[in-house]
Amino acid sequence: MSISGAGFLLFLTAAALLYYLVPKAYRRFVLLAAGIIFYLSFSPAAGLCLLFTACFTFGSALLLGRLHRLEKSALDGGDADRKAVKARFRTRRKRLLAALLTVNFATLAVFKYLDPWLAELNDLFGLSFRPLNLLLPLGISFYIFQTSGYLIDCFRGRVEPERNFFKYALFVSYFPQMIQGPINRYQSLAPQLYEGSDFDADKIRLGIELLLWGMLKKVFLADPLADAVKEIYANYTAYSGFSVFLGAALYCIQLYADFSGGVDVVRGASQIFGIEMAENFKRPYFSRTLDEFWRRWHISLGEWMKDYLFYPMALSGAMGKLGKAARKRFGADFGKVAVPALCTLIVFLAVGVWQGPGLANIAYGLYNGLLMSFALLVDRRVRAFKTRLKIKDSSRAYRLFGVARTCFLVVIGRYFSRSASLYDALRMLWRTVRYFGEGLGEGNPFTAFGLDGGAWARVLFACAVLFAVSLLQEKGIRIRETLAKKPWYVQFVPLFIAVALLVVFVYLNTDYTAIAYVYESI
Amino acid sequence: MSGKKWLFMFALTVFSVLLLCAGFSILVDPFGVFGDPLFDWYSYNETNNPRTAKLAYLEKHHGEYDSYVIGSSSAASLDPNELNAYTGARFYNLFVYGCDTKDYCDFASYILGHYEVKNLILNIGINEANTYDEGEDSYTGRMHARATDRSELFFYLSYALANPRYAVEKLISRAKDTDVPQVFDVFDAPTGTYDKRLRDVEQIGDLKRYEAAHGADFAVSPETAGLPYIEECAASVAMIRDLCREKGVNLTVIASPVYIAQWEAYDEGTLSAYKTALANETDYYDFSLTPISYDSRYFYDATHFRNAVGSMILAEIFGNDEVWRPEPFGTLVTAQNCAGYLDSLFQSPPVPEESDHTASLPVLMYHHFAENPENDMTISPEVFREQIKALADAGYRAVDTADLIAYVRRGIELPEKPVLITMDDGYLSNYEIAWGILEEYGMKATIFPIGSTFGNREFYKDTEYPIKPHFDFDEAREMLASGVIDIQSHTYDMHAWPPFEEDNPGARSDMLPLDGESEEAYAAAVRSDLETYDAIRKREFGEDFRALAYPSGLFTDYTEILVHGAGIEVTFSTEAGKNTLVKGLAQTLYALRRYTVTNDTTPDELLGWLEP
Repeated sequence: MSISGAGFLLFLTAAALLYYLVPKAYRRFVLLAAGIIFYLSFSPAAGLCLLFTACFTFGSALLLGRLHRLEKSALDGGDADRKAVKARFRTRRKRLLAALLTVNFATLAVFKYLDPWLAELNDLFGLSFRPLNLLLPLGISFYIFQTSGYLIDCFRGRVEPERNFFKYALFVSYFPQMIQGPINRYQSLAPQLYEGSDFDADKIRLGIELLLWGMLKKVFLADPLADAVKEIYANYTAYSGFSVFLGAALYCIQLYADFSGGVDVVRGASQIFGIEMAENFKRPYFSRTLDEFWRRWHISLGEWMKDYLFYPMALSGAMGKLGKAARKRFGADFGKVAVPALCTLIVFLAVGVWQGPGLANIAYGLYNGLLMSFALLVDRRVRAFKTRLKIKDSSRAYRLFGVARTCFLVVIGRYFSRSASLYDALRMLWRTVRYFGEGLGEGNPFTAFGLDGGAWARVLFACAVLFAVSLLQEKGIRIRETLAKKPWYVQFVPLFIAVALLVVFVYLNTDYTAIAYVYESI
Repeated sequence: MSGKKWLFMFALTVFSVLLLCAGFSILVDPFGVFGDPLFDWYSYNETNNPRTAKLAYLEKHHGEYDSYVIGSSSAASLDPNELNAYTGARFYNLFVYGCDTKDYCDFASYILGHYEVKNLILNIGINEANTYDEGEDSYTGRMHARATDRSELFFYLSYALANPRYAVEKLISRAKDTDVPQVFDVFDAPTGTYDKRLRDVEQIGDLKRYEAAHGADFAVSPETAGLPYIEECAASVAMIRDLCREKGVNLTVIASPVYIAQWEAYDEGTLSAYKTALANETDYYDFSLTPISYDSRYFYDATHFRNAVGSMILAEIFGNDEVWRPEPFGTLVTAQNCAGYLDSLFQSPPVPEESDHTASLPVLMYHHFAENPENDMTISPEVFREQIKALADAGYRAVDTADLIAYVRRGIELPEKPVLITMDDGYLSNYEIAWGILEEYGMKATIFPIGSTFGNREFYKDTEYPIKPHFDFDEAREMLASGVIDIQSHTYDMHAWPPFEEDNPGARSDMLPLDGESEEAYAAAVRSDLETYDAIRKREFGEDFRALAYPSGLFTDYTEILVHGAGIEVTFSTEAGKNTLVKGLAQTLYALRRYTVTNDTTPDELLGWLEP
């Protein structure tokens, strides 16, 4: 069931009607049933994988909880050496957690990485491992991270392990998040799911509006660019460096409209059930630094990495020692940023691996990590330089410069994350630099890859609308809330346009083929 | 606005958008399922989906018909007008493209159950056993719900909520519509056939040219899967046979002609199984493999035979010897004779000789003759005599347009070395000089006089501009009576000399449309000119004319459609080159090429042109 199709809307409507029709105590069962139906409509086999993860992490959390309880009773029992008891249990919990996470991530590794890496090994060393040809279960990258976060929280004692499997299964299988996240936190999502929501027309309205907006982004901006981008990345040798760069820039637009559009649909659908999900995007292309970009792009992944990878790593004993050694060896300034820089590099390496198994993805992570570590390392000098030149961070020109620089760096990064291989990404970069103007005189470099004048006009118009809306949001205006206060006819016009566009060009349009979301295959 | 009110507005918006889309699709009705209230444009609707639109058309018009043809697009060339002439019935051709035999059954059950039906012709093509019960998922391939047991409510609802693009495209096409069929309106609504007027004026005599233009349409790849639905096909035929028996309807089954590459795409076993399965259910006329199968000119493409072949089929079934057919052509296959028939078909396939059904024809074009030619387009008597003598000595025999028509229509052979001599404009010198010389050598010629300048001796029409003298009606009658000269047409007044016609800004020097002239105005002008000329010819010579030489050799496809639509059987261009006439294909007489003979043309040069 594609979430762009009329089938999803009917399914959603039916589920929402049923949800609010049954008594509140039973609403969670409606969501659980909907999740199972939704997931099985994609792939029954992948359902087994989801079921395994749900059972495994459910049981694991109970084990972790048991250790907590044992520790508590040991301490309550008046054991003399409280410190020793704590340390003992901490070690036991740590070992258990390590084992549990290994199993959980192994599931992901088997499905997502094993075949590509076997192929890579075969390639490199002339081996002949047979591929398993496993299909990537839908949403596995999201639910493995989500459940791992839950286990870590149970380990830390921040979350009481859920004892009701049906409740926990709903947390794992809540259908709006299945396609492309966001990666939700147990503490914020689970209570909403378990408790059930009261019918709140205002919330439903916000949900519908967000869903419509997400669909518009996907259908009128992301999809029209998909073929052109695919063409350039597949046949970059046929195009000038300029067109290749343009292709990567268009991919940035496509990916944003696609991913953020998809998450809007998902969050909107969730809001219809009165359930708020984590926000995943905050107009990332307005960022002035790459660091800021990553705090505004795919936020739920970034937060996950920060909480479950960056901080544990940065605050670990090993890193503490390393920091001390660095301060000793290179001085206080450098020593202070050495650990964060190293941790940033490792986190982005992980982000790269999360994106996909290829070397290009690892390079993508390294590219971002290195740039940001470098920025950390030279930060003090840059500040001094700016002070000397009397450049103010708050000046309009410097802000614009920052945005342009960030966008440029992001575009270059997309050479890696979309290419077929690292080799192709590097060749594309080389082509951009070496053959930037080649053949620009002949033919139109803007239309060479299949976007004709009409398509450009439509895409630019859609971009302009998205930009205008984003600008308003950037200024702190809450569009939906502001609109709700206007007279009915002011509200009616955009609603009518959105509904008419979607009905005519998507739901009644039998020629419309939903292009899969980019992050659907992650 | 409260959330509840907003939700109400949202529901209302969705509903009204759907309602607007539905209203638009119903009014414009691109598939004809809602009676096409605005345009009544069934040639368009049928092009989109003939299953829905033809039944919708019949809902309105079934009172005008009492007999039907059912088949896939290979039945398109069975002309209801000819059928009506043979049977006295009122036929409608209910063929639809991409039809399978499930559709046949649906159609037959529906029309036999709901309409008055006297005769049913069932046309079975070779590909009918290739698919069964397909297309229900698409707007363009779905059968009308009335002819199936599917829900009518769902049917109408799905077309009301069809992709609005279809309705938009119909509006755009409406703006582009012309008299001539285009890709979006290929049907002729009253007969149900394809409107082949454009395709049937194409010059197809020259096989090389034809193959260059359409070769790709004749490429067929072998059907490795064979014919998977032979059983279903035979069962469908049996079902229709029983239905016709029950209702007392006269059923004729035809297996239609197949182009050789299409035939050879299947192996012998598959074809035999198919033919035998059909014969076990009903007797049928088998036209599938005959001498015409070996010549692509008898086909529009690998799976569609020409309208002219449709005429041959009907002539064979109804015994009309005025229409040429090759030998053998069509066999009534029964369960008894089927095995023997197939044996002989596969053992000695009816491969024809090219010369059995084609003839090469050179045509010469003259204008004026004079003792002292002022230019090389005027021929001196001596030169003309030499040229004609050379032709006669070389064994060429002159023919006229009636001979060409007899060859093409009835297969009456031409002389071994035929030549057609033509003279344009109707100069008196044709009468005074050429006629005598032709008679002397036993040759004949066809003159194309301009209707409006008959008998102009001194002046151009009623002006005071001098003109080369033209012969008058008496002289023309005299020449006609001799049997040497045939008088046809160079138009009544579409070869004027505009500088002499200051008062007539609409004067035409040729048959091309004027700049900015509307299609209607042009068609009216051409028709009126042809009618005027015909009236004169009838009045003065007592018979219709049948041939026209295009002034300056200029014409468009639409001119050809108008001219042949008015009953003119032969037309001439001025393009140099020989012509190939093909028996049974009247359009090989269209826009015949002609060699321009000048006063400088030596006899050897002339004979060189004519050599095979």
